[in-house]
Parts: sequence; structure tokens; C-alpha cells
Amino acid sequence: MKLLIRRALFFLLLSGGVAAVVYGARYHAAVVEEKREVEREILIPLAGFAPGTGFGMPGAPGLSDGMPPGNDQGFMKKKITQQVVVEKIVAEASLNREVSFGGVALAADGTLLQTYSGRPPSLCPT
Amino acid sequence: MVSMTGEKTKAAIRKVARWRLSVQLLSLLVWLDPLMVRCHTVCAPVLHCYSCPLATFACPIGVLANFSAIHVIPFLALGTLAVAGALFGSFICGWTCPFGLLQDLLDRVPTPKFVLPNGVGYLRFLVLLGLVIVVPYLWGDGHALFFCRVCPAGALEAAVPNTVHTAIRGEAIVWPTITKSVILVVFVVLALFTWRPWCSALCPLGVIFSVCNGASLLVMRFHRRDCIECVDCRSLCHTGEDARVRVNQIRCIRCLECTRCRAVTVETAFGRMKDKG
Repeated sequence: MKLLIRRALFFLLLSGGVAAVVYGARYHAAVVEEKREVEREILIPLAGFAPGTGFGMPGAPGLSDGMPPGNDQGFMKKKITQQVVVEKIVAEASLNREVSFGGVALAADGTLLQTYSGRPPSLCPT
Repeated sequence: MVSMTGEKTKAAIRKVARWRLSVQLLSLLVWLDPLMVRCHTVCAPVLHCYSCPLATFACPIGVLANFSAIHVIPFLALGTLAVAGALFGSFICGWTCPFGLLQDLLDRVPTPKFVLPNGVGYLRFLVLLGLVIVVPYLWGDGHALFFCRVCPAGALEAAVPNTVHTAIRGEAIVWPTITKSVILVVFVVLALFTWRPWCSALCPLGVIFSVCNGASLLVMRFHRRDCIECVDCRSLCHTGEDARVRVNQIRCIRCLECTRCRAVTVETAFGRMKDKG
């Protein structure tokens, strides 16, 4: 009886381990939010520029999102850097590597955040 | 389980036991990444910090602690430990662990030795539950008791080499933390005077495999009918354990030293090993 229990435990442990490895390698992933800095070009009105009637009113005839298409007279282009949050699905195997250098952290709201942008840090935080 | 007392099988086991140091040294070729493969997405079943410049695989305890900190279940690490535990149990500790090898080598230094009480092996449950699971889960990886912040293997294999590396490259030197350094020094010194102090008292990976021993493929057996009450088994075992009382005790690393006693043997969970004699 003792032997049977031992064999059953062995099979249980082995099959459970194999199942966990397969699940972890093939199906398990986590959503990680990455903050990226995106460079955008915007148009800002020049000093003294007065928009015509209906300018900036969504749905106004001939206007789209507040800007007449192709018409940037009275505006100047300016490049700005915006921070956007991108959600990535990271496989558990990749997460194994990410945590080794503190690449992923838990935010207060329970989401996972990537702690770096661009090149990952070379040393672990500990 | 059928008894395995055939003399040829016993001789074979003793012959295998003599190869332990060679197997430990050869296994370094797997863990120390001589081919610069760097499979840090995969866990190895040994305590080997994967922040080490020479680490082929991820450390399962490091993964467990870090995943606990980010509240994600590490199926890959748990599965790897379950498979390794089911197939080998504590043989992993005794035959392949690089930090165990270091302690074995230090144990060979001829100094006065003392034996730690067997009860210290239970401290490892506290380390596993406290420093690897609970502290990271509740306070994250920034807590001073986060396992990787106190791990002597990490200090030796990652912190020290990385400090040297940054110094050689002329970059700002990142010194290992005082806690980590002190723990490393304490255990290196202790290893000169007692057998495998880290494995015996605090290793969280060792306790996982100790638990798996109860269900692993290979098992140590004591055959009372072959015992001649010489009590040699106590002097053979590094932990000072009496095989007549308990051959599968919690700190056993399957070094097979005790198989020099005729009453102690290795068996599989599926009947006795083949005795061709």
C-alpha cells in the first residue's frame, strides 16, 4: 500500500510538473504596460491668427477634427514628445528574463509596468 | 519495495558515489555557460544566480521570489522543480548544485568540524515561505529581506563578479550590499567548520527537493535485517544521522556516503534496481 501511494505521488508530481511547464511555456502570459515616449508633430496657431467661423467645431461643413484638411495657413509646426502607455502581452518565459534585472514591477493598481524603455539595464536591482 | 542487497549492485552504487565530485565539476559546464548560450527564459533546478555573468539558466528561487513580488504564478519554475524533484529529489543538491560544490570543497579544508543539529533543516521552510514567498508578495523586491537581497549564492556569483567587471571597465563601481556580503562571508567561513551550512540551515531550494524525496523516483532504503548494529552509519553521514532511525532525513543530499554501510541502499519506486550478479 505504501509503495502504491509512493508511485502515485511520483506520477502526480511528474505529470503535474510537466503540465505546469507546458502551460507556462505555451499558454501563460502577462500583460505588461510599457511607457513610451512618442514624438509627434502638432500645428499651433501663429500669433494674431483668427480662425474663421466654424473653425474647431466638430462636424462643421468642410472641417475635420477642427482643422481644414491641407490647410495649415496661420499655423506653425512644432514637435512635441508625448508619453503613451503601450500594453504588451509578455510570455512567462520572457518574464523570467525580465524579472532578473528588475525589468517589470508591480504598480499600486495591480498592473505590471516595464521599468525601462529602450535598452534593458545590465545589472539586477539587488 | 523489494530489497536490494545484491553485492554487485551495492558495489556499483559505491562506485557511482565515488564519482560525485567529478559529476559536480562537470555540471559546472552546464550551469556556467561556457558556450554563452544564456537561456534565461528557462529555469535550472539549482541555486545559481542568473545575474551572474556566467549563468546559462534562470535560478528557480530567484524566479519564485520575483514572480511573487509581481503577483504572477511562475508555472515554468514550479513545473521544472516538480519534474526535477520527482525524478531526482535531493540528488540535485548533492550532485549538481554549484553552491553546494563550493561548500563541499571548503569542507575538505582540514579544520576542526562540528555537526549542526538536524532541527536546523526546518529553518529552510521559514526561508522558503518567508523570504521567497510572503515578503516579496507583501512588500515587493525592494524589501531588505527579499530573498535575492540576502542570497549568498547571488553575492558570490553575481554581485562580486559584477563589481569587478564594472571596476575593470572603468565604470562607476556598484558595490554589493553589506547584508549580502556579510551573509556570504559568514557562510564561507562556516563551511570551513561544518558541512554545507547553507544547504543544511537556510537553502529554500534544498527544502523543496527534501519534500520531493517522499515521492521521487530514487529512494534511500535501510534494511534492518542487514544491519549489524555497528553504528558506522552515523560517522558515514555528514549530518551525523543514524541510518537505523531515519535514512531519508530532511537534510539528506543523497551523497551516497551512507551506502558504504551494507544495510543502506538506493532503490527505485518501481521495484529494486537490477542486480546482474
